[in-house]
Parts: sequence; C-alpha cells; structure tokens
Amino acid sequence: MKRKFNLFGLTLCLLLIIGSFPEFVSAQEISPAQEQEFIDAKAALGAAQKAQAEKYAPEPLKQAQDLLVTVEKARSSKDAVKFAQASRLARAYAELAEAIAELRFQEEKYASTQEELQKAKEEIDRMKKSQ
Amino acid sequence: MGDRAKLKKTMLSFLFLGLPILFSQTSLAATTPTMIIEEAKVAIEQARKAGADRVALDDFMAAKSWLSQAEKEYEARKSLLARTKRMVSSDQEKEEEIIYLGTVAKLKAMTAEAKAKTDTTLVQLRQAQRELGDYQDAIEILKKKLAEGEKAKEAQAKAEEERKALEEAKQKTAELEDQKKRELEEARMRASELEALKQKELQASRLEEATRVSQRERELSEAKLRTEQLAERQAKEAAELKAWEEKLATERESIAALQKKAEALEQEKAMLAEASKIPQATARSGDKEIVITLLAINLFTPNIEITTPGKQILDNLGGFLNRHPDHKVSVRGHTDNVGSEAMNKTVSEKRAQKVREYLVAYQNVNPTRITALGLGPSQPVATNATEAGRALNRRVEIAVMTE
Repeated sequence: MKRKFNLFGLTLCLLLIIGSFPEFVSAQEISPAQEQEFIDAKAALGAAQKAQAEKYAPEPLKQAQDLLVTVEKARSSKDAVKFAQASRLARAYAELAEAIAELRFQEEKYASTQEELQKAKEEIDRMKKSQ
Repeated sequence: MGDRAKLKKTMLSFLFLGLPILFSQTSLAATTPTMIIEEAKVAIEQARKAGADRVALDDFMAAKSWLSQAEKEYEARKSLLARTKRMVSSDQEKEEEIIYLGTVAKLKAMTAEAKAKTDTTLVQLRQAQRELGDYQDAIEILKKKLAEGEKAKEAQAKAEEERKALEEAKQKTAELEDQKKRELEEARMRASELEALKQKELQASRLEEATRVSQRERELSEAKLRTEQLAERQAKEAAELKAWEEKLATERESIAALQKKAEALEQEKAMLAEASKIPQATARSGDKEIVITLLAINLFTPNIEITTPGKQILDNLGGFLNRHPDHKVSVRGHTDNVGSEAMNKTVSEKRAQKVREYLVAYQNVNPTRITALGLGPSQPVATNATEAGRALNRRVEIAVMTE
C-alpha cells in the first residue's frame, strides 16, 4: 500500500514538473489570427478600464491583466497555443469585468434612484400630511 | 501507519501549494475539467435565469458553444483510445484544454448573466427614473398646491389681520375722535379761562400801568420840583458864590489894602524911625503923614534967615526926603500968639517958604512934590502962656505924606 502511494505521488510530481515547462513540449510560430486575438483582448481590457472596472470589478480585471502578461510570456516562449488560449481568456475576463462594472454602475445608479424615490415618497407623504 | 499519513500529508501539501504555482504560470484556474464543466453549466443556467438567452443572446450562445466544446473534449478524453494514450503519455495538455474551454464558457456565461442583469437593472432603473420623475412631478404639483394653500392661508391671515387692523383703526379713530372732542372741549374751556385771565391780567396791567404812569408823573413833577429847587439852589448858590467871590475879592482887596496899609505903616514906621534920627528934629505920626517938627529957634535968625546949624538940619532933612522921593511933602509954618494973627501968618508963611526954598535949592528936592503953607498960631502944640511954650509953638512942620 505504501509503495503504491509512493508511486502515485512520484508520477504526479513528474507530470506536474513536465507540465510546468510546456515550452519544451510545444514551440510554434504565432499566427496573425492569434495576434489579432491578443489585440482584441487588449481592446477589451481598455473597454473594461473605461467602464471603471478597477472600481467595480477589480478581480476579473486583474485576471485579465495577469493573463495578458502570460500572453507576453507565451509569445517569448513561442507557445502559440498558450498565446491563443491566454488571449481569449484575457478577453473573456476583460469582457466579464466590463459587464460586471456596467452592472455595478447601473446597480449603483438604480440604488441611488431608489433612494431618491424613497425620499420623494417620504416627501410626498410629509406634504400630504401637512396639507 | 503514522509515516504513511505523514507522507500523504506532505504530498497533498505539495499538490495544493504546487498547483496554484503551476496554474499561475499557465494562467488557468486551479480546477479539474469536471469541476469547470459543472461550474460553466451552473453559470449558463444562472445566465439563462437572468434572462441572458433573451437580452445577451450572443454571449449566452457563445457560452453554450464553449461549454459544448469542453464537453466534447471531455467525452473524447474518456474514450478507450484516449485512456490508452494516457497510459503512455501525459494528459496535462488535454486537461488544460478542457479547463480552458470550460473557463471561457463559464466566463461567457457570467458575462451574459451580468449583461442580462444589467439589462434588467436598466429596465428597473428606467422604471424607477420614470417613477421618480412622476413623484417629482407630484412633488412639484404638491409644492405648488401647498404654496397656493400657503398663499391662500397667508392671504386669509392677511385679510384677517387687515380686518382686525381695520377694526382696531376704527376703534382707535372713534377713541381719537372722542379724545379730540374732549381735548377740544378742554381747549375751549382753557381758552375761555385764559381769556378771562387775560382780561384780568389786562385790567391789572392797565391799572398797574395807570399807577405806574401816575407814579411816573408824580416822580416827574417831583423831579421837576427838585430840579427847580436844585436850579434855585444852584442859582442861590451861584449868587452866594458870586457874593462870596465878590466878598472874597473885597476881602482880598481889603487884605491887599490892609497889606498895603501895613506896608505903608511899616514904611511910615521906618520913615518915622529914620526921621527921628534927624538931629534937632522931632518926628511923630499923624493922619496919613509923618510930621517932622523943627523948632524955629534952631533954624532961623530973628529976620527969618536960615542959620548955619539950621542949614545942617535942613541938609539932613533934605537927605531924608531924597531917600523917599515918591512922597509928597507939605511944609507948614506955625507961630505963637504974640502979635497979630496976620503978621504971624505971614511970618509962618515966610518960614515955611524959606525951608521949601532951601530944600529945593540945596537938597534938590523936586519942587513939584513940595508945598509951603503958613498956618500962623492956629495950631499951637504948647501953651503960649510961657516962653517955653511959645518957643515950642514957633515951629516949622514938614509933613511927609505917607499915601
């Protein structure tokens, strides 16, 4: 039982170590389409920042930024697959950050409007009473 | 058994610590394909519930598509061939591929959900904004109404105040009128009182004036009288003064005359003293004159010629007269009563003449100041009964006028 567990552990560690060096496994040229995906990801990140994602959705925005760093690393290691995947993920995170920021912004606006509405109602009640 | 548990724990620690490191490098979440597929499914379901299939259809469909791809890859991974391949090579890449697809599907679903929620929120927001607008309109209307109500109230209050003010003013006016009437009445009474008082005062003042005038007149007449008296007194005093002055002048004159007289007397006295010093002559004071008596026996011969001693006496007499040249001189010849009166008168005249002539001729006495007169025996100074007496009566008197 002890030997079996040791074997499983060693195999897992080996896999992990190999997995941490994928550039040695696959090294391909980055295609223009993949480059476009990277550009789209950056544009999405810009849009998210414009929508105040730093304030409303900092986590997905951070993920997107980290992924863009990963993309640059993948470009250095000429890992086209990882470049493309990280680009798409970065874009997806950025779009999510933008959507969340927009949602939070509108929610805030809604809450503020609700507050104003409540105040207006109270004001009306008060005025009605004083009438 | 303890060692095994320890080793297991070590391995698990490595796994949980190592995986994040690994996935931080690969930028993929620390999860398994199964988990991520399940999460993506849940996310898609939530998105659907949020209405993403209506309002965020693109993202929703994309999520589904990505999920479908992940599931496909996952199914393929479970196939016999894949399992056989896994026995000889690593399954890491495929697993990452599935996780990546699942993650994208999940992210897309989440994005769709967020968009759907945003849409819902926007709808709610618009609704709330509309409601808010309605409420604000209502508030404005209410405010207007309230303001109108306030204005109406204010107007009413104002009207009430004005009415009260009018009432008060009326009352005040009535009171004022009453007061005015009272004051007018009082003023009339006061005026009549004043008039009466004035009349009284006028009468009093007239009386006083009349009294004053009469007093003045009296005073004036008194003053006139006093003035007249004063004038009289002054005139009297002036007359008295004049009289006094005249008297004074007279007194002064008399004093001056007296002084003159005294001076004359002094002079006469001096002259008398001086005359008394003339040898063979006697001097006496007469009425305004000094009479120097020379006995005829000492001056003349029986023929009535002047003897030498007589000339000496006359020289002395001449000296005396020349020392007093301003006095007039009268030479008077006297005789006794022997013989006739005419003869005695002639003898006396002759004797007087002789003396005058001698004084004029030998003593240079001014002839205009010297006269000669024969008085005969008319003024004897001694008895003619005796020779001695008769000798004394035969004499020449030289009267020197003292004035």
